[in-house]
Amino acid sequence: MPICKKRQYPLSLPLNIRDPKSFATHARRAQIINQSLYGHKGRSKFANILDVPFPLSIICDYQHVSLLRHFRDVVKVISSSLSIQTRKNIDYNLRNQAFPHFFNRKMRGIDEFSFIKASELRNLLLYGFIPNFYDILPLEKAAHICLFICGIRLLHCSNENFEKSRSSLAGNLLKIYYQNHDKFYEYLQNFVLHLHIHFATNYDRHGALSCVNTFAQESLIGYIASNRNGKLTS
Amino acid sequence: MNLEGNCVLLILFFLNLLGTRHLGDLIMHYYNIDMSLSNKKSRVLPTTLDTSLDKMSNALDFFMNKNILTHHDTNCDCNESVDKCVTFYQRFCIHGRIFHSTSYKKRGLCNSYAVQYLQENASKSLKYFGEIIVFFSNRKDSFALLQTFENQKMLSEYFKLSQFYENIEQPINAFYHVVKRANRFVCVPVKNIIKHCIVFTKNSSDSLIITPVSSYVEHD
Repeated sequence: MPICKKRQYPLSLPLNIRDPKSFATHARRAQIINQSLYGHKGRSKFANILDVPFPLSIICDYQHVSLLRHFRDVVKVISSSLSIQTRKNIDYNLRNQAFPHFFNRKMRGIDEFSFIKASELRNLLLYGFIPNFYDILPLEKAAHICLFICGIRLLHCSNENFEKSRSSLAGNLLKIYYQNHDKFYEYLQNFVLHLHIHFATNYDRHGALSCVNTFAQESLIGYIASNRNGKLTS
Repeated sequence: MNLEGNCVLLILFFLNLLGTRHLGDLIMHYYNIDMSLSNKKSRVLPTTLDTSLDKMSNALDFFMNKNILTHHDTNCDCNESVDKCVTFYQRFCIHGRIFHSTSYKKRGLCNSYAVQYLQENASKSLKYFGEIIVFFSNRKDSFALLQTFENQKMLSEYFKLSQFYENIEQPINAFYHVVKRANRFVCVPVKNIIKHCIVFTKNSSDSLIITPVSSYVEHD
């Protein structure tokens, strides 16, 4: 049995959204009284540097939120619910899936998930998951994960046209996914799942998920750290 | 977001860690380089990148292909035979992206020949998919010979009994398509080929699930 180690965030509607004005005043109040106030602990040091006021300038990094955390956990749970033979078949199909030549990484089997890269998970999420899993999972569970995948794919970089706008459609899909999440999974309603409720507004403010990859030079951070010479002063 | 924008900053990081005395001069130096690079107007106008690659010298069986013969008769106004007029290619660069064909043998395990294409005078709501067999060009224009995929039932029909059916019906049909290889060949102008696609085969049946590539520009 999995044990709940993470704080759970069940969906409570309507959402109580912070705006720039309340964000600034609460942060200042918290600074003065030196206590946590509605989740604020003080004024951020970045507040003076950024030209966009605070809650508007926050971007959810989908690479870490959706790919490396939430989707990975969900796929692990789904895979462990399958029998060993189907799991092996799926892993074989995933590993041998052909992709276009400009894909630097393909997909991995679920048995070696601990070494997986974000781009491999992205390929699994956007392309490979539904074709491989839709007829294996129970119907409701498959439809439920389709909500998530379609929502992310709408926000990723799609140029499909629907009756409603893409962000409202995707926001609705992700909301329904979140609402019904506890029917299918245990103890996975954690913070990263909650962040998905804000993806649609993020899309309207900052653009498609494929363009707001905040860690474009992530590999260089490690390079600088390992290449340094001498002490880092704090 | 400009990736080179932080170039100066990164160099500064290095200098800070390694220790330098001429920091001010160096900042100005690198800053000047950055500024002059960004101020420089590129004089070369971006020309279209669409070119043919890997000319096929030995393409006898394609000269006999009746689809290409009829296409040549109707579309080309030259009065010569096909082998004088048409040249065949294994690969083609369309909209700045390379597309393979099944006659390209060096492709390894990748699949860059399954594509989504536009059909002229067809409704825009329908999507057309196919596998490129070969590219060919006559004096004026370039075309691709495609084996088409035939649309089968919608993927959403599988979820018809689900409580989420109404919500996922539209998007899932837009992204995932259940198709079958049809024995129908078409010649499509290369500019009508839009996107690469990823094809998923099912062991049990001959129906495939095909989904177009979502984004070409995402940084890995």
